[in-house]
Amino acid sequence: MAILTIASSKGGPGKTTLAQLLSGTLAAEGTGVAALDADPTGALSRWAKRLYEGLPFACHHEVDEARLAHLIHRTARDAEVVVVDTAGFGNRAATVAMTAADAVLIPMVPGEGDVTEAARTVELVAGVAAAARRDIPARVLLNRVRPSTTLSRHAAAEASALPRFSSCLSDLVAYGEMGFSGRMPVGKAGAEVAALMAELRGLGWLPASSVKTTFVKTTDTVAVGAAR
Amino acid sequence: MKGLKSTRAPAMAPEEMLRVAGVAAPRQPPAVVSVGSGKSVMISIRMTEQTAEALAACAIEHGVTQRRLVAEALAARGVAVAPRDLEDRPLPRRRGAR
Repeated sequence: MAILTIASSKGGPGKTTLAQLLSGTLAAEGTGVAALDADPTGALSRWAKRLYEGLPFACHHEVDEARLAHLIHRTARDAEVVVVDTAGFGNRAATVAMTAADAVLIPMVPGEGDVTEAARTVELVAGVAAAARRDIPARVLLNRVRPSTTLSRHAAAEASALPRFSSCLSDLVAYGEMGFSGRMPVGKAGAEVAALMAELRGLGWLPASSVKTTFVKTTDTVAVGAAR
Repeated sequence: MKGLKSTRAPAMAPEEMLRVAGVAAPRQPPAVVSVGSGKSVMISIRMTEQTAEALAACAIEHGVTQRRLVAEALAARGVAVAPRDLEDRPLPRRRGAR
């Protein structure tokens, strides 16, 4: 069981896109993944319910911090990986999701405000870890990167003091298309996601191997249970 | 996973998650603010006569109601006071009043 929280106190760095990529890719691999949408916009849960076309995974929308805490606790009992998407501003539900996390992913796009808020989010995770008296690793994932531009290089340099993934996600249309098509990206975008998954496994943030799963359709979500 | 059990520690208890989050970031707002029903309800608080008199004197001094004074003090402490409670209602017209 691994709880991965995707957080940033800045709106628009690609948290929901990352949650879609992780959830869809893990489901495609046969890993028992469940996604929790703690963003009031409900973008992840709406996408999972209406547009997503891959192997199903459980997805629940909950923004109340107390109910979210119980939902994370319940979901983590059954799922191998729990992915929690949070809102793009400091709020109690996001902090609870960080508290519950085994690791926190902080997407960041090239921009002054994004670097500042990524640093603040890293600090908040450190504060949560200190209060919880346990290690909660956090890493920044550079998103919408255009490697040839001075802006991307400068933003990466500005964030160099922060813990970072060596993988990054480029500024590719494929990621935006996923939001409308419900299909996991292939080609260059698919290769970037595969590299990220490999890095997450290398860090021990994701289980090393996947197992076959059974899926039980419910009214508005899909319950996931590991096959025995 | 062939019936093999994980030896990892179970997820943190929900109550512990809430406690730790409250310690780490005590001033954060909820993700969604409840707007309530908008219905007026009565709040009754027993305090010493000295406090009640001081409250009345302060309200007279500032030309506002005691209710508004309390609402403003609560808002200053970060309590999500409804905007309607931060305004003084017009005094009711009394029979014979000019």
